Amino acid sequence: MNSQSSLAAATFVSRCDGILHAEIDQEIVALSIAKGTCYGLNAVGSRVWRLLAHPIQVSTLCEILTSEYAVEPSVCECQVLELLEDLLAEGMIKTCESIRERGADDLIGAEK
Amino acid sequence: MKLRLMSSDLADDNLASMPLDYFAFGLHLRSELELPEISTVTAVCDAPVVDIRLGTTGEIPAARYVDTACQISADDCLLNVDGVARYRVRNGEEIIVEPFSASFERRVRLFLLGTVFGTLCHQRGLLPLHASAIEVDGRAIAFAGVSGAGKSTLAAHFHDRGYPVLCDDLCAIHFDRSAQPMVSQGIPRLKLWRDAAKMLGWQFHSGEIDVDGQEKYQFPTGRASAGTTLALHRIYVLEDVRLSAQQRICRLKGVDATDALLLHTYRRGLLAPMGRTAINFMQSTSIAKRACVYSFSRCLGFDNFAAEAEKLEGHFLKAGNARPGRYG
Repeated sequence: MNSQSSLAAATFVSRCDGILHAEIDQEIVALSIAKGTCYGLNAVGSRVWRLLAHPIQVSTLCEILTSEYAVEPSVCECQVLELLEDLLAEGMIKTCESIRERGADDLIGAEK
Repeated sequence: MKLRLMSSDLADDNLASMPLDYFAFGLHLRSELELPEISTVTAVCDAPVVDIRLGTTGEIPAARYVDTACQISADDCLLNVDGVARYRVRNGEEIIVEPFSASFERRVRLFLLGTVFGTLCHQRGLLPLHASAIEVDGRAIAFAGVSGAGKSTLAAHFHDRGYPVLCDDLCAIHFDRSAQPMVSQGIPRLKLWRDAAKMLGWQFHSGEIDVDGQEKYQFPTGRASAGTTLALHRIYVLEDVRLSAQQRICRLKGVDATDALLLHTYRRGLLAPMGRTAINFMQSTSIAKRACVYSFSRCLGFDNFAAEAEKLEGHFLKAGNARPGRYG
């Protein structure tokens, strides 16, 4: 959708601050406090959201999802990138240029 | 029915009188203003006390939001209704009313029982929903919607059908220890437009006029028990059928249910300056988890009213529509 995609397999991404979320029927409903907009994520989107608690590389994200869902790696990466682009456009997530942007706490607490 | 003390008389201690006790929304209202709209509600033991006093409202120092109609801080809010009164709501425990004139008691109470109580609810951490609610089978069914959507008219219709009315226009929701949303008895009256009252065959008198220039009438709904606190079972969000692509009645889940609750939070414009956006969101998701939210598209006006009300009644009475499976 976005021809000038800023995301690639090596990019680190994480949730933005100021986004609240709650789980209803195991699916994530999130709110951007700044925009006052409410977003709903489906089952896979909700899994991705949970993994975005700490900075994570897109490729790592895809590896985890491929191990959990019956999906071809190439298809997975394509769909994950699409979802992440949407989340990025809505200001729900941010990219981290390098691992140096990750705080010590994030490194310790990062989900495998 | 008189304002007992005008602000200009404050210096005169002799005029000060014992406050009157009222009960609504699970609260004990200790009021220097007579509130005949609530006088039929019976007492509740151990209800938290809110003082309603007549006095000088003053100004809010360093308010987060200021315009001619209001000054808002986290736990302090000043509302100015031109030509009626100024109201200060503090810490969810105190309301100070400064009427402009002694001759508009009804209008002073109109805003007190509406916007000002809504503000009090926000401060107390209740979720005030823009809804009317009735009791069905020991549980609360709420009708939410914008002004003119038919909340009160439906509640009035179901009142005629024998369902007790819990609240009108302002439905204060709190959460019990297991996070179940609960509704307490609100103000036992319904406010109806002239056309709605006529359609329902309710008798009204010109003296009952509610807002100048707006032909709205108040009807007491009889003796109510303020001790009644019921689980909020369902919310029907009333929509204009012309703006809705949905079926007549359809279940809203997850983000759609949450969105509807955020949208129909009473005086939601207050949330951001009060710093309560996050709490409102968490409460809305909490309700979406534990109550069933439906959208109900109806035609504005009364041409189809009887058929629509019958359909709605059939829906909330149907056993198969009962609780949300997982949380039942």
